[in-house]
Amino acid sequence: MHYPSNMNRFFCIANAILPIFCVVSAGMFPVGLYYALIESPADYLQGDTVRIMYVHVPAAWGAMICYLIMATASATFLIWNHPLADLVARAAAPIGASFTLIALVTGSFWGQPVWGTGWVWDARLTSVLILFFLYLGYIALVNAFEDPDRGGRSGAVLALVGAINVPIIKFSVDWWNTLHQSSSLLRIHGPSIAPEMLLPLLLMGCAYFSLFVVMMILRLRGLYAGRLLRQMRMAATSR
Amino acid sequence: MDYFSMGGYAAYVWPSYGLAVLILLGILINSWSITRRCEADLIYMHQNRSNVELASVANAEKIR
Repeated sequence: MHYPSNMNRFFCIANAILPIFCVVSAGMFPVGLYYALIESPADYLQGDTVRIMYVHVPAAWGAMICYLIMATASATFLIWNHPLADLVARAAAPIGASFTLIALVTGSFWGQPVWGTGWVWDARLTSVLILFFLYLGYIALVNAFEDPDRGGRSGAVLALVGAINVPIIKFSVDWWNTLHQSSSLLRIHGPSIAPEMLLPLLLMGCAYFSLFVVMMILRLRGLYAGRLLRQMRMAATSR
Repeated sequence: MDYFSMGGYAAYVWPSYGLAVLILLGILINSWSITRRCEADLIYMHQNRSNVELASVANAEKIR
């Protein structure tokens, strides 16, 4: 692919790191799954249901980090009008929505045996459901306009307004009484999780992250090619 | 075979992993196919600049 010079450097770097992250991702998932499903012990209280954590928690991290990336890119697009920032926000949204869906579905499967219910309208679960709807709303909004610039701007405003939800999700377990357990990793006194469970969790976190990078680069390339196509078509029809 | 029973929680553990893999695979394939399609169209348009209008009609529904 040949890109115009202003984007060329970015995609040169992106294409250079893409195979690295493909290999890391393909390697990390089997290792992470091996530790998650075979090597790690069952919980003394929850039994083997604790293994759901290794797909649930990294997805929830990804869901929130994706939104932070989307909101930061949206602010960058609104303030500095950089076209790449718009593409970053658009690329992150479907990935974030997928991570959120995984967190919701696996959380429901975890809740049934441990809480006795697959869903409660408590602060953590409801705020994550709102996050999912914010992603869907953003995707619908940016694609609702014929002019991608107008769509990008409208979506960016929605993404920024919705960013207030991210700290609400993070601290919901501390601010309100919820069924959901509080954070066991990012604590003042260090992680409270057993090391033999922390290892598969971090391995799966790395696997999710490397897959996220791969999908981001792919989506950015696709979105950018779509932009160039649109420009060529507009030039062709105005001729 | 005792391993697959997950201490009696097989009905919760395996669907969780299955759905997580399914959703991740879905979004990965989606990311890959969008890119492949758009870049193929772009290369095609670069190669056939005289046919640009023809291609734009043919692909109008594909990408916006």
